[in-house]
Amino acid sequence: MSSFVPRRTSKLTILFRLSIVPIGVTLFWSFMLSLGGNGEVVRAVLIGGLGTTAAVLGFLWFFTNAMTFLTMPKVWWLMRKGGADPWFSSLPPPFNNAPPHVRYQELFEEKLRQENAWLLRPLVPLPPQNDPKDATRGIDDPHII
Amino acid sequence: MEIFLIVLAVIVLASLQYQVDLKVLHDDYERWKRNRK
Repeated sequence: MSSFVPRRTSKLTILFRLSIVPIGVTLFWSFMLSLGGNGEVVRAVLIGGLGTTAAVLGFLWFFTNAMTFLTMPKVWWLMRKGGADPWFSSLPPPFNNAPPHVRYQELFEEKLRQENAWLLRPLVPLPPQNDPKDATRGIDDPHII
Repeated sequence: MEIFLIVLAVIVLASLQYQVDLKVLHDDYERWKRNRK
């Protein structure tokens, strides 16, 4: 009996897993170069390393979102309403551990809803219901004459 | 010319990968639909 329910990997966790290696490399080299005593080099390495990390991750996030919005706006809105993100949801397992039906739960539920709506569609036109105008239709209608 | 071919190859490979990703996602959806509840 297992009560394990898979949950979304949090965006902060994913961001930490993505950036821990480049941040570690940057800090390592800034420390190594600080032994030379030149503060400007250390500052340049720190700004360059952290800035490049932020720029690359920001670029990927922005353009994944932009392309998703431009090519599949309904998918983008669905994911936004469910608290998902096109880029964070698309990352592979070392960064995002959630299974596909958890990552894309809004899309799966919407697809299931649309399939059911298609399978349960009315096959004959429904008769008009409870419309007061139906009782006198064709009698007082001046457009018929 | 070479640059054009490289860009073309990247576009073709990316679109093929996109088709594969869509197929995998659809298979995940079908498996989820069968196994739910």
